[in-house]
Order: sequence, then structure tokens, then C-alpha cells
Amino acid sequence: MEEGRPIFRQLAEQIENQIIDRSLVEGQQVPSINEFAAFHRINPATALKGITLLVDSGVLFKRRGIGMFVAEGARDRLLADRRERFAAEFVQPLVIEARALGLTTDHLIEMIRKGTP
Amino acid sequence: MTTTTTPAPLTLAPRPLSTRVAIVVRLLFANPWTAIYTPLLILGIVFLMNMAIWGIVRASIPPEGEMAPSFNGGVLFLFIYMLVVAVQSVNQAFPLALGYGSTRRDFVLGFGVFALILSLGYSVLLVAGSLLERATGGWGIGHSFFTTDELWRTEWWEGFTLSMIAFLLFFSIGAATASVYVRWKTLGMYAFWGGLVFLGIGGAALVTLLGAWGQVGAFFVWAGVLGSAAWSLILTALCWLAAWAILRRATPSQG
Amino acid sequence: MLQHTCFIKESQRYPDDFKPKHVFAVAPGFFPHWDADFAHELAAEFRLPVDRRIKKLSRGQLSSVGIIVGLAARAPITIFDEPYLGLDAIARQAFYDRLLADYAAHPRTVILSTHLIDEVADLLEHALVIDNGRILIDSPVDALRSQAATIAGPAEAVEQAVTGLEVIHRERLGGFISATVTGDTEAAVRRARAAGLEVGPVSLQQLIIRQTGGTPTEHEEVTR
Repeated sequence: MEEGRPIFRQLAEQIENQIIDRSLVEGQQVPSINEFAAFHRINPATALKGITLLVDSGVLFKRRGIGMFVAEGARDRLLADRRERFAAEFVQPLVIEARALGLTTDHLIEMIRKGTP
Repeated sequence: MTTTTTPAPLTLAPRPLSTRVAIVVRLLFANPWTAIYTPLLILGIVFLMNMAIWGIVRASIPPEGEMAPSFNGGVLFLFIYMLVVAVQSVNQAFPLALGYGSTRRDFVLGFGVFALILSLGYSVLLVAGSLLERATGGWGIGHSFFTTDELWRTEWWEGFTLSMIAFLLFFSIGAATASVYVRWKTLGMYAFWGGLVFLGIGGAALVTLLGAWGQVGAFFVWAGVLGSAAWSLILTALCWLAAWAILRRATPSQG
Repeated sequence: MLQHTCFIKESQRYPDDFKPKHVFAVAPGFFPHWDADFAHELAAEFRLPVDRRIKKLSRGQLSSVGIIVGLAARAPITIFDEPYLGLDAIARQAFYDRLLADYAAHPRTVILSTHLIDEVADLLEHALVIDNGRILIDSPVDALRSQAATIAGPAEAVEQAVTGLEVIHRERLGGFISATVTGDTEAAVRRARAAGLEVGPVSLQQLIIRQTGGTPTEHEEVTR
């Protein structure tokens, strides 16, 4: 886990990423708290906090006595959410850095066209 | 989920004293070589060597020659050995017992039980040895190894009592000495032995000054062997009290 | 209370005639939740010669005796006081892994005092930093992580970004400055990013070094 950000947030994000890239599909069971804790070498209470975050936001749901599953429609909702944040998290820093280097918006657009086949 | 289950509330009451004392006794007996196997082994070797030497000596004199019954102090090492066991137990087992959650009181009581068990065991062994020795006419060759004193030739319980008292005395001296060391380290040892030597010489000087050696001798004659031994119980009790008072405030050393 | 507590200290003394097997034999008396099979398993994992005199064990092997007792005791309150002396990185990792797994299976309070902060930072739930007997930090570790950041860039821009925050450390290199801030850093981090400044994380270890002003101290970590 990286420094500087709460581990439980990082864990939640990792699970979200796995749902977005379909390594976890809707309806599938996710590993247990203790499995997460052992794998990432983090405190089980921290892992629980991360999972709780996802349960509260409806990405995961609990089946009592069985475990945790990916909710229906979770991927679409996560995608929508990520798209919303894309501008603030990725485009803005890009533009700021480009300006610092004296690149115009047209330059940028051209570079993006070239860079993506 | 495992992490969210609340553990059952802990019982705050301490476990029964007998349990806690038994744990300490078990700790002191954990390595049976120290207090049981090794001394028995030494005793066995000393006994066999004694027999062999006695056999050689015996063979070298003509059969009709008169021979006084032999005395020897072969078993006396047991008492000194137990003193060392006491010193080591208090010095080394005390820090572990405390580290693992015994109280000082648990330890002192546990050590008392430990000393009592060993005293009893070895006294039974010595008396049994002596009885067997006499029944077999000194193992068939008139040798006397366990029967160390005139006292042992009378009633068996007199020898047993003497042995018990002596063992307990040696254990308590060992415990008191070690507790001084545990609490005050080397400096305490100097003060303790210095004080003891001072008391001994001072006492002897006092007796000499008063010209009272005759009375001292008379006391021991009057008290008899068993009586004198019984008086030593006061010293035993004092040693126990001292050990308890000292260990109550002792903190085992680091490292 | 004592029967619920297991205190493993680096300086624990054992009787000279003891072997590890003797320690494991008496431990169940002191610790009612003792798991003998687990102790056996751990001894094999740490390659502890259970039949060798404790006096003849290496420093690391001696430490593993303590670690095995601390783990297998399963005491509701387990205290490890720098239990890793002489253990190599592999054995320490094995200790952390076993501690975590067993803690997950048998939840209890574990108090771990350590100087190797970065090694255990992720395991902890709560950190207590004690400096010369004074409590310097007493906080959930998660909160500590999000409450500190390093912002670096041109001095003027950095100073502007960190206004209103507590700066616990400043490093200068010509016109360049690197400031470590604590408090509610979220807004400042956003401002700094927007201004094109470099924003970096602060590890628990760095945070503690900064907080203590860089003087050597005793650190106490608590996990639960």
C-alpha cells in the first residue's frame, strides 16, 4: 500500500478498479476481510473499513453468513462516477502541466489524437 | 465477520491461589534434571564408589579382625546441593514467573511447596536407605552410607525429622541469600556476607569475652541433636520471612 | 487481570537450565488460552531448536522464543516490547504475517512497541508516540495518514498553498522549498496541485521523525 492516503480508501479503490476492469463481475463473491488483510498485510479492522465503504455505497452487498458480493449494476455506477471525476482528477492536472511547459490547448488536442491510435 | 465479533467479557477475578501456586511449582520442576535426576545420579555414583572402596578396604583385613562401623558424609552433599538449587530457583525462575504474570506472593508460596516436596522426598529416600542398610547388615559388608549419625540408629522418625529440618533450613538459607541477590545484586551480597561474618566473629568474641563457651556447649548437650535441630527452625522461619519481605519489593533485573 | 495479559519483553530472563521446550511446557499454566499445536508450528517455522539450552541460543532464536509464547498464548491483552531483536527481515516478516493471521482468527488487543515504524505501519490501527514520557501522537493511523502531506515547489507558491496549516518541517534548496504540513490538508493539497506544485505523501515514520523534531526517542505503537 502506498503512503499518504488512508489504507481503507486505497483498498476500496482497488476493488472498484477490479470491478471496472471486470476481474470481479457482478454477482461474484469477493474475498473475506481476513483474506484481504493477509494479502495486503494490513490490519483486519482497516480492511473492514474499506469494505464497509463499498457496502455503504452499494457497490458490494452482504449475504449474512456467506460473505460479500458485487452488486448488480455496480460497474455502471462506478463508471459514471469515475467519468464525472475524470476532468478534475486527470484533465485539469494535464492542462496545468501543459501550460507550465508553454503548450496550447490545440497542441494538447493534437498530441492526444496522435497518441491514441 | 471475525473482526466484528465482540469477545466474551473477561473475568476480572484472579484464579484461585492453589492454581497460581501450582503453576509456580510446575515451573520450578519443569526441568526435572536440576532438582531430581542430577542429585540422584550423583548420589548413586557416590554410593557405588563408597561401596567399592569399602569393599577393597574390607578385603584387605583378615576376616577375624575387628572393625568399627563406618560413618561417612556421602549424603551430606545433598543438603548443600539443595541450597544451590534454592539459590538458582529464586534467582532465575523468579524473573520468568513474574514476567509471565505470577505475583510475588504466588512465587514465594510456590517455592515453599517446591522446597517442602523435595525435603520430604529426599528425607524419605535417606530414611528408606538407612532402614534397608541396617536390615541388610550394611549391604552385607557392614558398610554404612545412609546411616550417618547415632541418631539414625534409634527410631526411624528421629532420623526423618532431623533430615526434614535440615533440608528446610538449607532451602530457606538459599532462598534468603538469593532474594538478597535478586534485589540488591552484588552489593547486597557483599553486605549480606560481610554482615554474617561480622555477626559470627562478633558473637564468638562476645562469648569469649563473657567466658561463656561452657554454657554454649552445655546448651547443645542439653538440647541434644534433635533439640538443637528444632531450634534451627527459628532460623528457618526467619529466613522465610526475610525472603518474603525482600522479594515483595524486588524487581527482576534486566538482561 | 494478570491471567489475561501476556507481556513479552526483549529482556526476559529464563532459568539457565531451561530449554525452549520447558518454556512451552509451563506456558499453558500461565496462559489459559495457550495453543500447543500452534506453538509447535511456529517453532518449526522459526526453525527454533526446542531441545537446546536457552543460554546457547542466538539472539534471534531467543527473540523467537518470546514471539512464539506471545502468539501461542492468545492472551486477550498481548504486549510485545520490541520482540524482534536479532531477527532478520525474513523472520520479522514471518512474525508480522503470523501475528496478523492469528489476530484475524482470534481477535484480541495487541500492543506492539517498536522502533521499526515503517515495517509495521500498515498493521496498526492506532499509534501512540511517546517522547521522553510525553504522549506526542495518540491517533488512529488512518487519520494520521490523511492528515499530513509534503508540498514542494517554488518558495512563494508553497507558502501560499500552506497558509493556515501547521507546517511541522521546512526544507530549503535555493528558491525551492519542501514543507511538511499537518491538519486538514485536503484543501491545501487541491490548491497545491492546481498551482502545479508537487504533492507527496508522508509516511508514518517520517511524520514521527518530524513531530519529535528529529531527536532519538522511544516509540510505542498500538494495534488492535
